[in-house]
Parts: sequence; C-alpha cells; structure tokens
Amino acid sequence: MEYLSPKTLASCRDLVWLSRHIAEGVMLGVQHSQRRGTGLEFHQYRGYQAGDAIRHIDWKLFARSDRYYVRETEQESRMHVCFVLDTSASLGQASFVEPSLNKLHYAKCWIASLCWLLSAQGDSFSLLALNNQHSIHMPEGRGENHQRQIALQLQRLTASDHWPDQSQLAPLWQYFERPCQVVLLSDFFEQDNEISHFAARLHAAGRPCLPLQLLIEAEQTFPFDGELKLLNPEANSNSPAALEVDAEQQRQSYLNAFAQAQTELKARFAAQDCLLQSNLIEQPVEKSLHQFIQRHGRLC
Amino acid sequence: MLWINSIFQSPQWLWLFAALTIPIAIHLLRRSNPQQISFAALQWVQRYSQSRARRPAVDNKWLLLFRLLIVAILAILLSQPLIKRNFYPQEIVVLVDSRIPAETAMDFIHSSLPQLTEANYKVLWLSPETTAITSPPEQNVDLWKTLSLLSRRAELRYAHILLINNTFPTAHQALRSSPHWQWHSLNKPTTPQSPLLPRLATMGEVPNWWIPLLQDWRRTMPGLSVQTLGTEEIPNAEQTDWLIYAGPAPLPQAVSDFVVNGGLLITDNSIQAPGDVAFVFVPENHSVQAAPLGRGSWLRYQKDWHSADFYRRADLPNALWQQWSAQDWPLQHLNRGQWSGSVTMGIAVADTDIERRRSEQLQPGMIIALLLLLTLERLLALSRAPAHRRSKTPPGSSEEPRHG
Repeated sequence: MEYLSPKTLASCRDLVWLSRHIAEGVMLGVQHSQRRGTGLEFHQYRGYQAGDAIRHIDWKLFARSDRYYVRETEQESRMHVCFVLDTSASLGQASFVEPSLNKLHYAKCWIASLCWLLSAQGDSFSLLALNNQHSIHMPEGRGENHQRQIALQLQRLTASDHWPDQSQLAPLWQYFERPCQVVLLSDFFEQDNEISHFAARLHAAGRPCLPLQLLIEAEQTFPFDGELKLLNPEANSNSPAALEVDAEQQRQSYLNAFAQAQTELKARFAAQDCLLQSNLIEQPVEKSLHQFIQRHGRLC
Repeated sequence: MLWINSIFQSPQWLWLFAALTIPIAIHLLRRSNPQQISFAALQWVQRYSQSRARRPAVDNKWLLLFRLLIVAILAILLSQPLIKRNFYPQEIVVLVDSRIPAETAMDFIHSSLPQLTEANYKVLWLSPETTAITSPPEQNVDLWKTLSLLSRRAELRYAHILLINNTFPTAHQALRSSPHWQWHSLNKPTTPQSPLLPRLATMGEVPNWWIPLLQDWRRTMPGLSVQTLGTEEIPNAEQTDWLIYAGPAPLPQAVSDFVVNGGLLITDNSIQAPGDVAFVFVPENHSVQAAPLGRGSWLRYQKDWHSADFYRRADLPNALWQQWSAQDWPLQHLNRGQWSGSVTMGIAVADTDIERRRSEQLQPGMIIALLLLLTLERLLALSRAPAHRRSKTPPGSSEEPRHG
C-alpha cells in the first residue's frame, strides 16, 4: 500500500474522507467482524444534525412528524478514548519539507483516523481541544456519525495562544470524571513542564494518558545555515519573540539542548508508565497510527 | 589623466569599477535582512549570539570576494591595460627586400650569415605586414616608409636587413632606422666607390699658403685636380667646380658668368661685390660670407687671406675644405648618392621611443580567469542552495531568497 505523501495530506480538505481513507489503510488485512457503530438496543431518537448519515434517519418517523430524526441505539461500552489536543500556537509549526503541512493538520488527520478505527470496533471517543483562549469539547460518542462530527469539529480548529494555566484547566477536569483512556497530542514544548504536569495529574487521577509528540524534521536536525531570524510562535516571558542567530554556530548547542529536553521528557513519561511516542509530521500518518496501536495494545 | 591613457587603452571602461559596489551592497543588504522563519522550538536555541555586533561584516566572504573579482576583471578586461614589458627579441629576424626571390635570399643567408643558422631565426619579407618568406612577397613596397615603420617595432630592433643593393639614391635622411639593425646587400659593389672630388681652378695671384694646403689635400684626397687659369681665360662651370679668384679687384664678367652657371667662387675681401649681391654670414662662422648668384654661389672671406692671422692656424686645410664643400650643394648631392649602408644611416630611433606596451598577451589569461571565477562563484552559490531549500519557510513568514 502506498502511504499518503505529506503534500497530499496537506492538500486534502475533506478530513472525514481523508481519515477514513487513512484508517482503511491501517486496517488493511485486519480481520474484523462487522461492527457498525450502531448497536442492537434502541436508545433514543434525536434530531438530525449535520454530519449524521442519511441512512440513519428514521423515515417512518419523518413521515409522521415531518422532521428528521435519527435513531440511536445503545451498545455496551468497551472503551472510551478521550483525545486531548493541544491547540497552542506552536502546533501551527509547519514542516520545512512541505510548508503547507503543519503539526495541527497532522494531528487532526491522526485523531480523525483513529476515531474511525475506534468507531469501527465500537469504542466510544471524545475530543478535547484546548488552549488558553478556547477549549472545545466533543462529548463521548461512538459510531460513524460521531466520528464524522468530530472530524468536522477538528476541521475548524486553529492553532493559537498557549497551553491553558491551572485556573483555565480547572473546569476541564469534569470531562475526565468517567473512566477513559486519554490520548494526549502535543508537541510538548513546555515552558514550565505544564503539559507534563497535566499528564501527571491525569495519571494520578487514574486516567493514564498515552502521549504522542508531534515534531518536524527541522527540530531534530536544525538544517539551517547562515543568518536567521527565528520567530517564536509562542512568545512569553521566558522565550523571546524573535532571535537572530547564526545557524551554523547554533546547530550543535541546539541539538544538544533539544536532545537533552527530549530525554528528560521521555523519562518523565516513562516514570508514569506511558511511553512517549514522537513522530515527525513528515512521516505518513498510517505509520504513526500503526506504531501507536502496536505500542498501546489495549487501544485497538 | 594622461597617465591613465598610457596605462589603459580604453580608460572609459574604468567606470565599471563603480560596479564593485553592487555585490557589496547586495551582501550588506542581505545581512541587514536575515531570513525570517517561524520556529517553535526556539527555547532550545541559545541566545548568546543575539547581538548583531558579533556578526561578521558580511557573510559568504568567499562569494563576495569572487563576485568582486569578477567585476574587477571585467572592468580591467574592457579597459584593456597596456602592460609595459621589456621586450628582448627571442629570435633573430631577417627582413628581406621583397624584390629578392626567396631562394636567393635563403642562399644568401646560408652562405653569408652562417652565424644565424646555428641560432633560432626567422626570415620575413620587408613589408609593413612582415609576412613570412614562405608566403608570396608583396609588390611595390615603399622601402623607406616600410623601414621607418618597422624601426619602431620592438621585436625587429635587432633585425638583419637584406637589401638588393647597398647604394641608395636619395631621401635617406627621411629614413628612420634602428641603430641595432645590421645591413646586408645582395649585390655588393665590386670596387668601393671613392667620393667625388671637386675640380679646382685658381685665377690670379694665389696666396702663399695655397701650395702647402694643396699638398695637404692631395695627401688625403689623391686625384684632386687643380687648374691654373690666366686672368684672361674664361672659367667653364662644366669643367671647374671651385674657382679661387685672387685676381684684380673688379670681378671679371667671365668669372661672374661662371658663378651664375653653377660654379663656386671663393674670394677674399679685396673683391667688392656688385650692389645687387646680398651676402649673408655663414652660420657659426662670422669670418666668411656667402651669397647665391644664379645657380652657383660666392664665398667671400672678410679678411685679407694674404694676412698671417688668416692662415696661421693648424686646422686651415680641414676648415677650408669644410667651408668650401659645405657651399657646394651639387657636390654634396652627388656624394650623398654614394653613401653606403655600412654607415649608420637615417635618423636612429632611440630605444626609449620603442612601443613596448602590449595588451594582447593579457587578454586570454584574463578571460580564462573570468570564466574560472564565474564557475567558482556559481559552484559556491549553488552549493548553498540545497541547505536553503531544506529550510523552506512556512507560509506567513517573510522569506527572501538567499544568495544565488
């Protein structure tokens, strides 16, 4: 099978289709039973929402009431996966290989694809996308429709601002009250270990999170040369908004510092029994998903 | 600005040196606007090199150097410098009169110039183009103009010149020649011609010093003929060149006719001139006057030549010969024709006047250097491009293409 090139990934606008296409690739050859997202037990009727499949509309009810209702059924929950997506400005970092692809877009494809995989096996999933200005929560759900809604919601996300501070995080803890498997997507570029603290606190609350770190190749290799003015998308008191550097001079010290930080980060997560997976966004999503699923066998 | 004209053939192109500022300006502008990229992992980049003072004045020093050199070489190439070099001819040149057949010339060189055959030499036609002797000769070459032209050529300074004969008609004084030329002639005169001597005649009572003077002259110039005429005899200008008249005071009509017909009359101050004869002093000698009279001239001494202070001098024979022969222009003219090539002739062109500046030798090397520099510059500029291409900037951040 051919992996999607970063350019294709970046240029495809239909996240729903894209995620299903990717997921098909991941599931290729997997023997699985027919598991539609719908269960056997009737649960409720609810009003039609954009993204719902037309074939789930109850046409008899439509004939009676002249309104679109969707018939929802209940399926025993096997697992609830909660995707926590960091949408701070640093996630807007584009690849230097394929400038139209950035980390956030990669994360969207990744989440939507995994949601499709989860929906295919009947698991439920929810989404929490957060920065210090907006936090968007898609409640727990399962099935194709939910995946579609999450994909549509993901498509609207943009990267801006910072990771929320403690006070902004406080109202979000309610989403983790029910048992769930947290998947945390971020670049883990922290100023004050705030993301690690968040993960540690989840761990302490018995909701161990599976971290996925998104990097670009340039962050690992620092391929620049000459005079550069580096702009920081997430400027704050600790790191300046811009820095003029001589790339050749800086390369070694940067690579050392970055490797050091990565080692520390990995050590912190290893202490919490969750292995940090770092992926370059220049690599295919399918590979990353495969690796993630294999590493965390409890997921799929 | 004359010195610039002497160094460069086209000094107007020197303005191109102002273009040196262009690469400098480009490099300085690039420096002031470093490439901007968004980089989220900025916190691991150290800040110590933040100050611009630590940055070098220009980056890509080699690239700048190559670009400056390219502009400079281009400017120099266009302004065509004239390099002064001491020109020592490497090989001996033989210039052959174009009237001589090539085989004859080569035979002559082999037989008469054996010293050449051991050395490295080349044989050229004596023509403005100095084509090789293997090519057909040019016809109707103006020998004197050509020689004068070639006398300024540095590589022909020490040439051997082979002419068809060694006696020259006239006009050799307009000739310019190299003092180092060695003259040869194909047809050597069988007997060296002695210079023509004037035919002398005396009339009247000759002074006492005349007989010793004549003896002295005959010693150096054997065959000098002297005729003694009576006062009633009529001198013939066709048989006599110089007439020394020491007769009675009024000049006889026959002597006047002799001068008018082309003779040289020599008298002292005892002979009064008719009123219409305008005497002028001979240059550098205020004791003797000369006057043109018809086709001849009259040389008259201010002093009485019988007096002792006229003739009591050691150089009397030489001085009188020079004074008298200087007035005899037809004699000079005839003698000039017998002047030989073995004597340095014409106006020697001094070594300092030789055109030694040459620009031709410089250009191929500079063109090669220019091409080499262009290649190096391109290589250097393009070798930086892949690194740049790797660091493409994401949309939104301003990027300027770097060098190259």
